[in-house]
Amino acid sequence: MKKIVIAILLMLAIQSQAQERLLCRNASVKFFSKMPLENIEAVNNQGLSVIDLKTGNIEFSVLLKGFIFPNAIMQEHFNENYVESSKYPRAYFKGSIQSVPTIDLTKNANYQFNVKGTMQLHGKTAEMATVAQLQVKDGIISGDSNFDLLLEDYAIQIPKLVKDKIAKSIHINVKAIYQIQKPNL
Amino acid sequence: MMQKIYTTIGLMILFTCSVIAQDNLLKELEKDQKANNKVTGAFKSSRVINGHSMEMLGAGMLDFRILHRFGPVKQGIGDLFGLDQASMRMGFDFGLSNDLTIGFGRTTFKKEYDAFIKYRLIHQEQASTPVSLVAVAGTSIFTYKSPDPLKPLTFNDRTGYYAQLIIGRKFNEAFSLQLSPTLVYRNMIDPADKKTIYALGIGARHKISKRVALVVDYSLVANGLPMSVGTNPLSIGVDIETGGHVFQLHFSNSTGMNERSFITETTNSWSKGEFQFGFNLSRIFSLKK
Repeated sequence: MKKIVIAILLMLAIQSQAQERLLCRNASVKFFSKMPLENIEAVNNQGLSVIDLKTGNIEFSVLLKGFIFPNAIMQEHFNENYVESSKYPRAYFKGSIQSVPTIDLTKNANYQFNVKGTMQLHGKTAEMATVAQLQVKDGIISGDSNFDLLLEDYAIQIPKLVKDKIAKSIHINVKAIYQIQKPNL
Repeated sequence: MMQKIYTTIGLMILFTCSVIAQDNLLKELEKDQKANNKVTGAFKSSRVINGHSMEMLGAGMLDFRILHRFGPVKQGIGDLFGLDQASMRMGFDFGLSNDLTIGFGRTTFKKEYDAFIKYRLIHQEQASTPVSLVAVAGTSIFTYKSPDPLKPLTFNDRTGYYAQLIIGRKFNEAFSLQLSPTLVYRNMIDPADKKTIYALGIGARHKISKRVALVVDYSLVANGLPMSVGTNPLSIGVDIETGGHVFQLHFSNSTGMNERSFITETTNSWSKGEFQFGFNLSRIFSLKK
């Protein structure tokens, strides 16, 4: 009797877990620094993300060395001088969906919700809030969001000499196509 | 009663398991992700001061380099500590790939042209590859007219070659060190000299802030120079990086700006107070979009 109860519970647990979580290993994270003198744009296509639909928790983890810049010298400066990626290799976002809607992954629909949480970058953590969209279309689940980060929140300093070339506020665009987590991953 | 306890414990275990799984999922994914562990920024520039550094230009980058070497500081205020005299080299380096750079330049001293090819055989990687290994081969040809009209210089007389292997390591964020065994061959020499000269270059850099570093560039000339006259070039300076520019300001007993010149033609001696100011200015452009 006990065994059966536990077995059933176990199955239930695995099953429910299987349907609740979405994950993505190739989220695209783009950033834009727009200034009159120079526009800088970089992209990382290896962002990791997990969404727990039941609790509404959302997490992202991005390797800073994975950002590709249009030229090598910018990429080196980004890693060496600004985000110091050998000291702080990843940027993290940990947050939650405010008032989680009921999401049915079997039906085509668009959801929009507020996300609040903390961004960790360059050894500093700052509060962040944004609006995110989740779209279900023919079984493909995609999410995207846009927000701005203030470099000073993360103690990333811009030297005076290049202050006209690097924006103080960096625009970030995140796009992710999620998979429903398979059991026993 | 017992059953209830068992069930509760069972549930608790299940619950904890699932919580742990949730917390670790992202960590598990991170483990699978291959980071690019290649070490970058061992030196601010592709030259330590005079000699090549273990750094390469990125693919599609153009490095426009302007070098100045002034007169002896000990000439005093009358010559503004040597600034009244200057020789210069203007050069262009191209990054053909991340591991292959070619470059050429011209120096006013001896009206000399030089060119090189530089290839990175091994790239230092965190936790796996301790050093970078870079091979450089270059040539130079001076074009000044022979002072003796009866003895015109042949093309062969004017040329020299060098080959170099750079073994370098970035030890930590601040400190990098490299050794570069070098061979220089000159076709035209003084009778007392040797045509083939071996030298060991030693380059070190220590960052004092994110954008400023102290650098030392020394070449130990092992043989072949008439050592009563020739000295080992020693340069000490600071690298200042400002976005796309790197300024390398230094004091050196050498005025040479290519390998043949600074390894085999340095005659000033620090111990006699013979050194001069010089700078390298590097401006990097992207040739790609």
